[in-house]
Amino acid sequence: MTLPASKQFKVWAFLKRNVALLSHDDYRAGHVGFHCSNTRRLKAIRGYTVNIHSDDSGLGRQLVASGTIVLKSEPDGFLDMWDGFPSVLFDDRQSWIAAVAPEPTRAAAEGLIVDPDWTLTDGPFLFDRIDDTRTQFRSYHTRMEEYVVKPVLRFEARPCKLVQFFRKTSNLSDAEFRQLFFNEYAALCRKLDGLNGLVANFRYKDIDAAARHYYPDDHWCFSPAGRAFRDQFYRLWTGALELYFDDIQSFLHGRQNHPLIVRLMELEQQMFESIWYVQVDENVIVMPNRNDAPSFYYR
Amino acid sequence: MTHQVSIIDEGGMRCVMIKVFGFARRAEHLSQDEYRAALIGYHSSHVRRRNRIRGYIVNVRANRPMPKAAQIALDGLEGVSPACGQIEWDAYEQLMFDPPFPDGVSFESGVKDRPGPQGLEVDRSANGNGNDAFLNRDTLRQVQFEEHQAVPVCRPEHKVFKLALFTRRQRDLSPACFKSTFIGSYSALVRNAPGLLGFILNFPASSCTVSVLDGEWPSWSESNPQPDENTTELGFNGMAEFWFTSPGAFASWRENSAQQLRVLERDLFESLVFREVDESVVVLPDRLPPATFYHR
Repeated sequence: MTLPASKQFKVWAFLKRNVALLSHDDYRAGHVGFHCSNTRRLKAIRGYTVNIHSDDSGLGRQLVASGTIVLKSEPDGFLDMWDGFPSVLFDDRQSWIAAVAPEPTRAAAEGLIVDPDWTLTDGPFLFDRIDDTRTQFRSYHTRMEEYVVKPVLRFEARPCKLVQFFRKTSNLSDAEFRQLFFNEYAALCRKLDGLNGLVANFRYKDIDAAARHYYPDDHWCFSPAGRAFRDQFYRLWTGALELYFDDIQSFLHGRQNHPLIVRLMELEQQMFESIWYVQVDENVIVMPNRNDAPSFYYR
Repeated sequence: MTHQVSIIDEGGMRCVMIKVFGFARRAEHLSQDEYRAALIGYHSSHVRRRNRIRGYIVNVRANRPMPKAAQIALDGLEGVSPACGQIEWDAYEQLMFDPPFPDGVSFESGVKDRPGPQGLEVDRSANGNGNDAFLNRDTLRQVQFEEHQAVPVCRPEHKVFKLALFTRRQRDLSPACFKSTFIGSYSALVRNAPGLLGFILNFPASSCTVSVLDGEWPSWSESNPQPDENTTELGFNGMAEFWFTSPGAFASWRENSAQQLRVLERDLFESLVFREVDESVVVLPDRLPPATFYHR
């Protein structure tokens, strides 16, 4: 199975809420509501979802009980490190860096104007603020190398979206890992019954690949403390699959009924040092458009 | 207090949800492309925050010639006047939401979704309601609809080819016969078209325009007859929406079913017109029971 990497510049940003001000559910409303009313107007954005993890309701135990799912070494407290992660698509790095450039999208008496009320000043109240003297907040912005294994189809219902995090085993070189991943593993995953979409993502090893020039050079994230903070999170995982099903039962059935489930599980044991699943509630802020951009304003 | 509801046909289940189309004309000082930016940019970014919203689609009328393949496929319409639809529009918005609840939290009430120094706040700024006086030429014409999902929509990650079909029924057809034939025989010709991503039929469910954004609701009861005779205001009795992967897929469907379509469209419609629209999914419709948390 040969797959080209997606052309788009894809960024995931894992974010922890401001715990002094917001509950997890408050965070949902603040991020998906007000915050996204501004960020969905980022210039030249081509796709945007906000994925907020469901409360951990024993998903791991449920999956293990099925007998057909491999779980290994889920990091302790992983869900305490973040509440949600936006996933954004841009055409290229330059578009990403320039995304906050003002763009006229508001009707006024004199025609179309830049919205004077457009703001990201809610950030320190919404996210994990560095300290009370600064408006900066902690985040794990990372560039993802993306492969669309099975194009996503979204129905008019909240999907069951699972993010399968993994860390590559040190027993395989990168080349050996990728050969197994693309030639066998992804092809087997693609055949899961009930699968509505599958996207494979590899985290860029350069932890600044998304942050560089997006944040100012003197931003906290580039300080020694900021780098250490980000690095300890990124060391936990090499990549992640995004899996779309109608519901969790469809996923379990898909695994149980897979004709080559034994081989699939063997591969997971062989390839991954760690592998675990997080269910997220996906909010579609800008429906991804992987075709060329239209010549007019389009979201 | 009762409220007008649209019955969303969900595989035999009756799901009470309100569906409204709002037809709008751009303000004269805006070009169509400027209007797009203002409607999809500022305006919809704030309307999407409204309480109880369960789906929000903005359809902007395409301001370019219909793709050739699709146009050729439509040139063969015979015996049917192309004139239909008295509402002039540059865009129509589709809003779906839960009915107002006894707790008083309804579509038009303020939503607490702005992070501030004390936690979440109700956004009291002009942004909070998405009202902008310079966007539309006239008052938004909002009409409630009853829908039938002939083919539930699934959306790929690319821009789709979407058409709206506005129809007026033949005068000698009863409203009930018109509706059942549209849902039955006509849908049967559409359902298996290659490249079809969705097909939904919509019938006006109110005899007047309303303004749900301002909290205006007509009264409603189960015993009211299904409104249909509202052509003086709307100009159409039925509206179908087609989602195709491409203009070519639409053209192939028309060509492959040309003879049957010609006969049925002549018998069913006094007039009809297809309009291409550019669809923006602002809130992906969610037809499941509402989430217990904030979700868009």
